[in-house]
Amino acid sequence: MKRLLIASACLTLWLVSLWGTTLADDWKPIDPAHMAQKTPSVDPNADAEIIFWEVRVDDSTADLVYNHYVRLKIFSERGKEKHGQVEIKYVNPIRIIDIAGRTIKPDGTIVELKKDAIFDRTDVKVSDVKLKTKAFAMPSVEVGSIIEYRWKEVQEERSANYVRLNMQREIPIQRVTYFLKPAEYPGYGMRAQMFNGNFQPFQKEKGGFYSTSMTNVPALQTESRMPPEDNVKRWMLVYYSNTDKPDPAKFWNDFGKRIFDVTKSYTKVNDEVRAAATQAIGDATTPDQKLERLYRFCQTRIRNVSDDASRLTPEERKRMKDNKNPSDTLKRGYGTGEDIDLLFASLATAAGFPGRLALIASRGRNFFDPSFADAYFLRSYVVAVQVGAEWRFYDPGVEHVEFGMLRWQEEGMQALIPDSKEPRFVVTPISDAKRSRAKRTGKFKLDESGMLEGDMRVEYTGHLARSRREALDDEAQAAREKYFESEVRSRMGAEVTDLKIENFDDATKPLTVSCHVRVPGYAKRTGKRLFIPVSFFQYGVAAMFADERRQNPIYFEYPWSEDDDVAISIPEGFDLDNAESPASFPISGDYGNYAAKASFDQKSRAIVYQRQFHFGKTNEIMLFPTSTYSVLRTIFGEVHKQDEHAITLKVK
Amino acid sequence: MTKRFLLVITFLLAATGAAFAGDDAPAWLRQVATATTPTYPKDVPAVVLLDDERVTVTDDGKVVTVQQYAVRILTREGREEAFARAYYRSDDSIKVKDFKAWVIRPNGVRKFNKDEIADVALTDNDVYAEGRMKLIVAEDEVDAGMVFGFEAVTEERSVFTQFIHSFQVDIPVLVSRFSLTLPTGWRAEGLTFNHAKIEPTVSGSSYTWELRELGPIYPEPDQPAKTTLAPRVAVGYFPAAGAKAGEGQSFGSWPEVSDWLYGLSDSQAAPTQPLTTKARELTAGVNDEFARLSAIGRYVQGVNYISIQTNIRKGGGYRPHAAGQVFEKSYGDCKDKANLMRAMLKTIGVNSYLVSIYSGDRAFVRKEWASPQQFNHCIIAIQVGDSVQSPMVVKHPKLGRLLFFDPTDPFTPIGDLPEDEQGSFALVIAGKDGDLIQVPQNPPESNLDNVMLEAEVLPDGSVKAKMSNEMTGQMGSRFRGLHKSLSAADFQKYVNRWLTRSATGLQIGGVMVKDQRDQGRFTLEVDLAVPNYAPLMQGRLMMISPSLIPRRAQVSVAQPNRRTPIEIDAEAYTEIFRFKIPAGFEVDEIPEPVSLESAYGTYSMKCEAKDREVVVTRKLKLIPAVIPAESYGSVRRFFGQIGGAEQTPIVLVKK
Repeated sequence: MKRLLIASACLTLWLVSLWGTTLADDWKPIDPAHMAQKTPSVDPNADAEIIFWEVRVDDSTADLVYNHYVRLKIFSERGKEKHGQVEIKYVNPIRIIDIAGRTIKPDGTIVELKKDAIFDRTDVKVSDVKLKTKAFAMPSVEVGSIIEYRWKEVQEERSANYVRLNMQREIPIQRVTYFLKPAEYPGYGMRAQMFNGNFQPFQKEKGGFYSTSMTNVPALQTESRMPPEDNVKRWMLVYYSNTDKPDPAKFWNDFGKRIFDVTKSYTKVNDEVRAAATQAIGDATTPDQKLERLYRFCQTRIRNVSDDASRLTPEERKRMKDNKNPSDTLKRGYGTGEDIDLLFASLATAAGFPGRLALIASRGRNFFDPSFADAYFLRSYVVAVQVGAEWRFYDPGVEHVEFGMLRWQEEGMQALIPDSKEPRFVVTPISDAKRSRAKRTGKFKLDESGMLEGDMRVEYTGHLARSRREALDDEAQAAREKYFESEVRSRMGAEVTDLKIENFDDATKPLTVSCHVRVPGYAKRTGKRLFIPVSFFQYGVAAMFADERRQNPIYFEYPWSEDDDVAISIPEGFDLDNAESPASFPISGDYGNYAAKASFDQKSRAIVYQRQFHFGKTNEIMLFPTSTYSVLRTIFGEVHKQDEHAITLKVK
Repeated sequence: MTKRFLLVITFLLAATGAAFAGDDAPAWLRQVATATTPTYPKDVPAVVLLDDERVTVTDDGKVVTVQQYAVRILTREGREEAFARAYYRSDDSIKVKDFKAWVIRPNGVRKFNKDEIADVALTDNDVYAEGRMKLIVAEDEVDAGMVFGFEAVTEERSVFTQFIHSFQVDIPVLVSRFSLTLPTGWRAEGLTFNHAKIEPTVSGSSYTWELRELGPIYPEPDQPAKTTLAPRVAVGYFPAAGAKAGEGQSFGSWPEVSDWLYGLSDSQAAPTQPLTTKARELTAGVNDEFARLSAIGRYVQGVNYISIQTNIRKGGGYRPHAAGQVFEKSYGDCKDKANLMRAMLKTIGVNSYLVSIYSGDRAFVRKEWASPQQFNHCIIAIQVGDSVQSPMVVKHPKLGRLLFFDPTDPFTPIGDLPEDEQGSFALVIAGKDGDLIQVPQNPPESNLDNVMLEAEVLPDGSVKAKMSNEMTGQMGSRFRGLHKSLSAADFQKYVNRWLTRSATGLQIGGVMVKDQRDQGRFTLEVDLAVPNYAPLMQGRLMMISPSLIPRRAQVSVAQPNRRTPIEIDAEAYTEIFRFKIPAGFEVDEIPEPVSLESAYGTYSMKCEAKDREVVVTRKLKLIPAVIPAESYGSVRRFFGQIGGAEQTPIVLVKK
């Protein structure tokens, strides 16, 4: 037996070495046109360009195997530096094997990547989990070289169900091709859903593979205020389905019924829930009042263990038991965000407002489109409550969300309301600009050198408050103060003292920040004049769109408004020099309004400035095509211009 | 280690976390945890209660280190100070023999188990490195008021007989101690840096250096490197007569260090035929000495920087790969590149030396301590004749005129050196003739930012302008670096964002770059237009800000007080802005001239109106200095006055 094993091992080794030899020689011929190519063809400014990236995804065995083959051309020193070193990251038990590579120098000389130049690095190992990297430097790379490398990734006992395949990367690609070989699941077939590009239809290839390609794919660019990457990048979702061309309406109908069946027991009303609802509602009479009290009850009386700021240690979390129903959540006084939402749905039902857990996608990640008949994107949930004929949406399981609002990511999205008979999609409302408001007031004194000193106060509500609360809720008071202080200091070089934060943990009240500021050089002084920028709260704020050109659409997360009230008393010995007010204007397309007014109060000898600005329409996601960038840039440029309005004082 | 990386580890650890009832902490930790700490300002996140490093050297040169460390968390932010680490190497030249950590909470003690220890590669940007560490991240396990402690035991067979102990990183420290126990008859010597001399307490052949109650080092802008602020000791030990410290090297002088490094590296610079051919090809027909050096320097700068750190135990960290191999692969790290250049220079008859230096803190290397452990970078010193004139030439009594050059920095041409290396001590590796010398520092005028602006103010308040910005020395290198590192689109964005800082809505017509790299000059020419730059007020007054082009770098004086020194680099600025005024307007007010002089630099600004033009001339020269925090007020005043002068507008009135 032992001899047989040795013989078998020898044969395996020989086969492996033979296979290795075959692989090493199995490079595709180099197209002379690529050797001669001096400039990139997809993006003229690219430092390097992928000539082709081929991936063979083989799901036909127990393991999921990817065979990558990349060939790229280097056009600049930057490209040489960036692509001369290759790192393939992976996590065990994934295996990266059969790495081979070579450099074809501009004179046609070929330099192979030696096996001993390939390093297998364990970047981090914790217990049995290893984050690893295969790293190597391509030899003899120079500008004009073609480099190519390939590797095999083996994921044991995995399937290609819900696998995301990138057609676009951070480097331009002349041609990207995926070859897919599906698993054979009786009754199920592999499907691929393409996003954000013109994909070629799948073609049948040898060996049971199907291929699709895309050519001339530009590099993925990131810009501020751009839509989520999933909505910009060209990519493909591979999954298995038992229907070839599903009817979306039927799919969602069936799916909504199934979800209703699965979740109905989780929102069950029993006597304890009913009693809790009655007690929480108290003397409230209108549906709004009742629901608000139930909402507050869930947010304040149940400890949210999903909250990253809950300050629970892993040990404490481990000791906590899972809640099986709303009654458990009530009794234990703690629960996950999902438990709290389920409890709210149950309490609302007990109060006569049928509540369901509705499935929803996050537009922070993707704009959901129900014409794609799969629940892959419906990964979040909110509570849908029926009030009369209307469905209203709440999410008490998420911290700092005001009653009547959702996280901005879930506003304006189609929520699937499960039902035993007629599930339906209902679009969640988008909170209007007034709900997310920064109300800012300041009373200051200007001295003759141009220094401004006084007190300011800002009240944030809605999404403006939540984003700050969420960013800082895990921080101590000192760090929160530091954050707000540096926000003021870095904008205008102000000295900030007596900073106070109020209502940080109480989402029913505006998040309020007040402080005393001293801003040397606030007004510009000449021999005879002082020029005073009146829009104190916009002083030092850069214009919104600095770049002249834009690659991606423009995306504002939610509508917002700003409401400023500023008084600046002027120094003795100066008078107004024919002061005028800044201009007001509506924003075209009904997207908002800018109103600013400056006046002089003789009694207090103060310039009084008021500014109201809002941007965003009710119930419209603010996604603008790239072609409108110059219009938006002009609008916000005009806002900025008016915000820089100065009033002139002259020496008496 | 980046915060993001720590987050990954925290995430991985969260999956393995486990608690043990009845855990107990060792007596030393329990005792330390009772220490009362002073009242610190509220932004001090944590305080080190004890950092005790005890090293025992056996007579065969084995080094066993026991570290006991305890930190009290003071704020939520301070939780990130709750981590333990112990370094080792995958070649077993350093091993972690024991590694334990605990948290002392009000309700008991939590001991970390083996599953919670992360094993992390110290690769930084390396393709591969043997350096690794064991790590326990306890951020999620602690909160304000709790004490985190760890104990690590490592065993090492070092090529050195020297140690560095830093008494502090940045948070305050109650007790920090370094103890060294040697075999009988052996002796140790220590040097103190960034602090008054610390005398060790000696008991037989055991030595202990200790500091107590060190205040926090606050992070502040334009601060010297923390390695210059935190106290540290460098300790060397010497075997008794006739004894040997295993493989350990001890050094009594810089020439000894030079000789040791020369022995490791010299043979690696043997030229091969292909690199000889290349060197001759690069210098064919070039007779000027400096031009020949430039040609080879440029070539080596173009070799890809790639680091592979192996064979450390046998001096791999100090021995370059063979020049022929580096030439063939066209990649290598700093010592590989310097060594390749040395080999190429040899083939054209030029002698040169590798140079060890510290990159990142020009004050890090101290002359008093002869040790290769003071360096983290390698450059080259080239023997040159009198025809080569450069501020980077030093006349050495034995080695002649030496031109210092860093072939790893792809943006600084030969004749200059990266800013953080200028003025630093560096070791010329030339066998017994090698020594530590101070690398020269360029005067401010060599790092010149010269901006010329021709602007036309139109009657509607918009401005059309042409800017020419010539930069020399490190000013040029920095901008060259940006230009070479960023894609064309990103470079334009950078220029746009820089100029938009002082002119909202600025539009760029074209950006032209002229890189005279060998002359150390980089020029940027930009056509620009700014709508509403000079707003027309009440239909009659026009206000022109004279600072249309903002300075790229500024000393930060926004904060009213300062707790650490402020570092000023050698730089000079000359700015001449011409504003052509629109027809129908005349100059009503121009800023008064300003002239300032201080120990940190000089500044002048004058504004002249003539022939329908206003010319603003500004000159700023900054003298390199590290200014103590106590003098911050005067620094702030100086830069505040400059800021004030530059904000004063030009006022035009309609006739």
